[in-house]
Amino acid sequence: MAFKGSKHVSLGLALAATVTAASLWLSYTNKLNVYIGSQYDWFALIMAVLSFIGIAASTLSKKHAHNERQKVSIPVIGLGLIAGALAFTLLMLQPKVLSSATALQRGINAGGLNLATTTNTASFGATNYSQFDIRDWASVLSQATSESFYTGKTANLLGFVSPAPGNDPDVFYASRFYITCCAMDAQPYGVPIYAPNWKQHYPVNSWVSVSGGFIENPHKNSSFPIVVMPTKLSAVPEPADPYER
Amino acid sequence: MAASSVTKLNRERWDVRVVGFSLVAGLLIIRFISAVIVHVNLPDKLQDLITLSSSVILESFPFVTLGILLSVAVQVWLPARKVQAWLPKNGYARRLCISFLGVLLPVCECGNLPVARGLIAQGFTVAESVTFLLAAPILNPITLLTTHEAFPTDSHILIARAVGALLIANIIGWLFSKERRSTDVLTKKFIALCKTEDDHTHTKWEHSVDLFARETTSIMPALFVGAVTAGCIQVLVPRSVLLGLGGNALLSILAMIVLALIVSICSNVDAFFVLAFSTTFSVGAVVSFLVFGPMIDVKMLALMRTTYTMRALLRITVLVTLFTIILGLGVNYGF
Repeated sequence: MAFKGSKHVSLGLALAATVTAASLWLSYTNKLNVYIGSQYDWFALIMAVLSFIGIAASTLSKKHAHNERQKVSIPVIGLGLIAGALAFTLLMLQPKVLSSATALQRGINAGGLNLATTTNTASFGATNYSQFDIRDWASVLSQATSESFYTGKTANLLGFVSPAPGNDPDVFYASRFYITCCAMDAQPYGVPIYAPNWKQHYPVNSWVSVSGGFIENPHKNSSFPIVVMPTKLSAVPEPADPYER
Repeated sequence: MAASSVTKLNRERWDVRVVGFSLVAGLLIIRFISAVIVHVNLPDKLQDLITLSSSVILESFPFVTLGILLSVAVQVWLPARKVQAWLPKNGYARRLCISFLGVLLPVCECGNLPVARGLIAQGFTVAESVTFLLAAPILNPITLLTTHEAFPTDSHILIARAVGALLIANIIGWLFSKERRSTDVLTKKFIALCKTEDDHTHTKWEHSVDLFARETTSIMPALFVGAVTAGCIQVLVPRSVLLGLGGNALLSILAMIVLALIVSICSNVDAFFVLAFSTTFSVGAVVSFLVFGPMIDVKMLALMRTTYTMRALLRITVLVTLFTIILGLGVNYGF
């Protein structure tokens, strides 16, 4: 047996052509990592090239498709419009990383905090904390709540600004998404930064570089008993690889 | 055929290839130009919906393309019914062997759908295609290796995942083998696609190109719809609600099943994703995620709908859910 005929040749091939063109462009401009993990870059590029060849050759089969009458219904039109709208955005809009809205919706630090699963576990318990990233410090903060533990320790962080939930207006999260496969599985992690009037200088979703030690939060009723008191806090451009792994 | 007709046909084929090439090249040029001139600031939630849906498509598309190429290879380049001849005649033994076809075709679940369609077109039964579709994303070397890498000291997670997937796929395959009419399980459109084509003028290459076009045509709209649906659910359903259920033996399993349904993560790397939850969720819940996710998720359901009826999808989903819960509870209370 073999397949025979189809009713949506033009839509399906047009969608494939759009994804192929978008993949090639994203690969060329190094922006595929806005959507997928870098381990897939080469695979995505190779399959986009093969798809390009397949699509170019496939238009031959239009000859067969045109022999069939198109049966168009309202659901088919609706689904076609949804697919077409997304294809349009793939082709026309700038790639943008996930925002703090998704970070808050998924719950910052809700994805499990355990130093055994973070990348720099070898350093924990030793004196070298300089390599700790946002997830590492978030893990430490979830486990060690005594201020004395943090004496002499400095955090160097790069993340985007997310409003910290709760009743503390002087704290924001320096946050980062960690992905395994693609943006769908991105888990947000964040470290609370103490910076009164932060909203005036660092808009939500903007990127900041933070350096500083840990202090007990001056607001005793805050949800964040230990916070980073920045000695250096500055706005920076979005990094080339916005997600951590 | 007269020489002039052959020349005309060759010219026509060349012309349409140019059209196909121009289609992708033209879209690529549009993409380059729009990057320079189009700057739109959308509300965060809408922008995130677009990013999430696009990520599903860009991550799945290479696997879908690979799956389509494998499907073409199975249908056109493997001798007809050769694969079937290698398999045992007994139904149980056949499905057991088919469960391990993923060892030869180690693509993730969205790539397996076109392969499953190709197997049916090659003469495999619906039950065998379902067994393959459910087992292959888990019982393949890449998935098993990454599971071992993620949980090197918890070998029972790897064993429970592999054995659980094998059992569930074969039990559901056996249940579907009782189905008398394929029309109850396969869509009319897919059955029509599978009807024997009486066109002896095709070379193998032409046949391959034709199949590539038709499979792309069938699957791509479903992939887009699945991606948008998965994106909408991600934006609208607070994940923190699910993660709050980690402590309870049964609720944690249900939460992880729902999470797997929503996240639609590739089976080759899902173990690393769930690793972060392993301290807050029960082992049974982690195993449930690792078994359920590769079999059923929002994106896969949209893709499977191109081939299986709604009734069949409902049965598969309910059965996989029930068996996964039993497996998860067994792991929670057995280890």
